[in-house]
Amino acid sequence: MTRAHPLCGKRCVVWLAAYPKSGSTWMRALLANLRSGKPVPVPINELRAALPGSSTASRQHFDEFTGLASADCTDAEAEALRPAVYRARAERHAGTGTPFFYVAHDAYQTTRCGEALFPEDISMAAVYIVRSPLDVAVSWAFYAGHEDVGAGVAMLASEHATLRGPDWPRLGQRLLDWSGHVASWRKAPFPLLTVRYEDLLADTAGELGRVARFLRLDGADDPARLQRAAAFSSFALLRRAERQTGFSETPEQARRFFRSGKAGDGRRRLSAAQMRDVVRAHGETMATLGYRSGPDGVLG
Amino acid sequence: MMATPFTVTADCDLGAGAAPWVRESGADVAIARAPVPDALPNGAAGGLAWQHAENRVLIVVPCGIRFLVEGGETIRYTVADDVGAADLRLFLLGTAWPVLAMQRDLLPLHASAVAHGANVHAFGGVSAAGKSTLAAALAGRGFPFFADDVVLFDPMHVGDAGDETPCYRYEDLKLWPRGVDLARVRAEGPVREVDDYDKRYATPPQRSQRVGGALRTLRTLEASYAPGRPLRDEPLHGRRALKAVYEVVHRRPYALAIVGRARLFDWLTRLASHVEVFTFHRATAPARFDEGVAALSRTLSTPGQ
Repeated sequence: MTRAHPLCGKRCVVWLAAYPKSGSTWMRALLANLRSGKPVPVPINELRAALPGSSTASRQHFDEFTGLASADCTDAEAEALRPAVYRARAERHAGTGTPFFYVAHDAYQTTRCGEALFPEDISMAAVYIVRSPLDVAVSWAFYAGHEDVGAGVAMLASEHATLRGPDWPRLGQRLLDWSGHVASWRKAPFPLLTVRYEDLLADTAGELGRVARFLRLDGADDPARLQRAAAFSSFALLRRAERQTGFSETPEQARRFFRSGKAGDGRRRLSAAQMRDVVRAHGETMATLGYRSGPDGVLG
Repeated sequence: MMATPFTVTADCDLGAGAAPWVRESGADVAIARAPVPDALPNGAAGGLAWQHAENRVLIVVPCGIRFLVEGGETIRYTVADDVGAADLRLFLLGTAWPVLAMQRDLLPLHASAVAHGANVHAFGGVSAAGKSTLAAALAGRGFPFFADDVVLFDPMHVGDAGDETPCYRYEDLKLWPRGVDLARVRAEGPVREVDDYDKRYATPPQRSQRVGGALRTLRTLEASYAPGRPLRDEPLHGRRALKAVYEVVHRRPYALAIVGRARLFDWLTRLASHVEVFTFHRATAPARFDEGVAALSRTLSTPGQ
């Protein structure tokens, strides 16, 4: 039986924040398998049921809590109501004794009305997952289906980058540029743990343990349970599951969701000029996150 | 032609789709610009943008529109100076009208639909599921366009004359640019008069002249994600059919508040037991859009549909 979470009162929301294609779905799989504690993996199409939570860009949530159709609203109109939607959802979840995990791709910012998009008063903590922007550019290109890594590089550099819009299955999300995204979440006024995708790859169980201890989750100090959750969420297993059953979150235009699961794709696939562009724009932020120069002198 | 279940007078443009409902005077419902309170009395139930108390519903739209829908007889509205007539029409028909319909014992379904003679085939699903685009594309394959976004089902008259399942339409076809391209229809005026919103009214190749019909099938649209993303038209029965029709209720939180949970489930049971319910799993990529349309076209053409 799961015990009540020690920190989970009104502030029951954990933001799993990440720039797109940085590992937030993998983190969900890890947390779902840790929470499950069962001797079999959580099926990839049951992650939503296995880990209480939602996307901050869910249209269904918005429509349900506001009584309006998000498809009738501009991004700005919808954004004005989003903090209230998260509060209403948190209020409904409060008292369950478990955290509510919201996956957030938006930068941490204020709405156009001046209110924090992700309200402090419902926030328990945030886990910020970060990945080398060189690799993000590649991953985004495959996810978007065009496989144009140059477009991925351009998105990283655009301070107006937005996942949108009304005809998308999700609400519009303002990303800022990659460095802006990182900086924005560092200013969030609640406890925040930064996890590097590359560290998660190198020591999955160890990093999951760090996250679990930070969030005071069941199993945080149980090495066997952490190891099992890591094994059940391995990239090979996730990829095989996607091949066998399909994954409900794979966009139609992408060949697959779980594609590479490696670090260093950017170095292999970006041109020298594209790598220079990324490092010129984001090198300073990358350095603060511990990304070091490789033999070619490029951070990543 | 079936009569509309109620008639309206309105001091604002409601579009061609609602024209059969509109009278010059002496209608059942009055839609007019008139003062609307900021809030309903304390204790009113509702959501973030609406309140419900007794027979009144207050709806507050962030762009500067407020509606008070009262007793199934009036819709009062106020609009900010910078709100266009198209914006008013969208929210009035999309939210206030369905709320009024609930007050008049009609059940709005979040669905677009085509006609096949007097029969209506509806496609429900979440926002951006492709309901309108599918209906528009089928209109190019011999199934006249019937309804966009909302089908009003009349649960109180189900089975009155044999297997009757009356339903009605009132909204014009609206599509995003991608839908205009996929369905190969002509785009008309903008749905909203704001930047950053490019949905447009559109003209379907064929349009049903009927304002009402017999709802025969209701399909919820799902994006297929199984390997190869195969097409599948899955018939639903019993509790699965009931769950599917529950999820297709338009503005469900209002329905729960206005109609009440027990009565709503009674209505849905009638719907699920008189109408064939399916989940239609299909690929949503543009390159495979026609595949789904062709398959549905064949299905709807078979005798008995």
